[in-house]
Amino acid sequence: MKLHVEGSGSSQAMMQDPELSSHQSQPQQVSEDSQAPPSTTGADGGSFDCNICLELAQDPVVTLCGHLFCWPCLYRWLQVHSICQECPVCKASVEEEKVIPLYGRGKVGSVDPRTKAVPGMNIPHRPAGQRPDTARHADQHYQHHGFNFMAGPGGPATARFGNITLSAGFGLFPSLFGFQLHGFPETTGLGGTSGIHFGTSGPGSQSSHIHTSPPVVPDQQQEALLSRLLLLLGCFVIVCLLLF
Amino acid sequence: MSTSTPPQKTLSRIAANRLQKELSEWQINPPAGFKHRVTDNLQRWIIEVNGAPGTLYSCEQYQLQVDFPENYPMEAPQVIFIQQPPCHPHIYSNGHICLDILYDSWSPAMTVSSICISILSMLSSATQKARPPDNDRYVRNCRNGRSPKETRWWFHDDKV
Ligand SMILES: [Zn+2]
Ligand SMILES: [Zn+2]
Repeated sequence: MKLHVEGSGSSQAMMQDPELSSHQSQPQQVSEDSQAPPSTTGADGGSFDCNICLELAQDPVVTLCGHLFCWPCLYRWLQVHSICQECPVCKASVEEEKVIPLYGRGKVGSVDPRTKAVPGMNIPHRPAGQRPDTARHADQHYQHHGFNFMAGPGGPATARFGNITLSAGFGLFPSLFGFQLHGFPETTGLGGTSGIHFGTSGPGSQSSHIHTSPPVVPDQQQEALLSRLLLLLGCFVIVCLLLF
Repeated sequence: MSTSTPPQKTLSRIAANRLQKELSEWQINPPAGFKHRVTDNLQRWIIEVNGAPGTLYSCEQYQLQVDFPENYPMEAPQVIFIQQPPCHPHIYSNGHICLDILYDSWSPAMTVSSICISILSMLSSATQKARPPDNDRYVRNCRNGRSPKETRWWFHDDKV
């Protein structure tokens, strides 16, 4: 055993001796170079092949160093087999939660052996993409929509009936907010940054209103419904008065 | 010449798929100086190596035996010289090769082809034909067919 220590020790020394390390860096360059070409040997180009299984990447993710893998392949490597969490191609350090998922529009739902081939190992979902805020002009579009909606039915109602208009007017505002709150999360939900979004991007008071209103949404929606009913009732009364 | 016991567990489906893929790429574009001897055993490849012209090993022929573990490519294959191993400062007389990518520095992005290129490059860079200084002791310790991949383990244990 002790003899062995020496034996392996000397082989380690050899690895560190400059002559050898230079010859070892050579093959590594070769393998890095050959990492781009081998995929091109296939007729189909292969630029989107996983660097581990060599097939078209399944649940593709790309590391910050730009190397493409199947999420299951990379996960297994990082979790189980790698000694220090490094990119299999270039040895850059890889943080699991910092890989970038690629969302194409290929078919979804086909079961691939790579996702379930290891019994007793659960491969989680890929990390979600880090989504920047929605572009600004999109917000403004939504808000104009909101204003128009308010100005339309709100005006006539106030003009005609004192009593009913008042409640109708209050009713319409919440419904406006309700509408916007439904509109925004759809566009921001993916990024998970909706809070920041509301706080920073809306121009002026409008956005602060929206920002504070979410907790009361259900009540306001009920109010809106009620006020609409009243409005409808009012209209019905007018029609009755006009006709008879 | 110990032909060390290969890892006997059969290849996983992922490993088999990947090896099939490597084999077909090899057939289209084999690394220069190497020839895969066709067998129907996907788990053990026998590869002929021709020393590069202009080096100490030109016109010499050697044989590599590559055994793939169940969960290749997550784990490195076991690569050894069989028959008469080349006389080289990093190749033991039992065929074991002292090359980091076969052990600690293995990465699943490497292929049989890239291993072959590394080995040929290692041969080509030799300035003298000699065995490693600890050859006899090492070989004596490997007598009962130990895999070179285990050597690495002793090495680590002893170092700690
Ligand atoms: Zn893959
Ligand atoms: Zn990389």
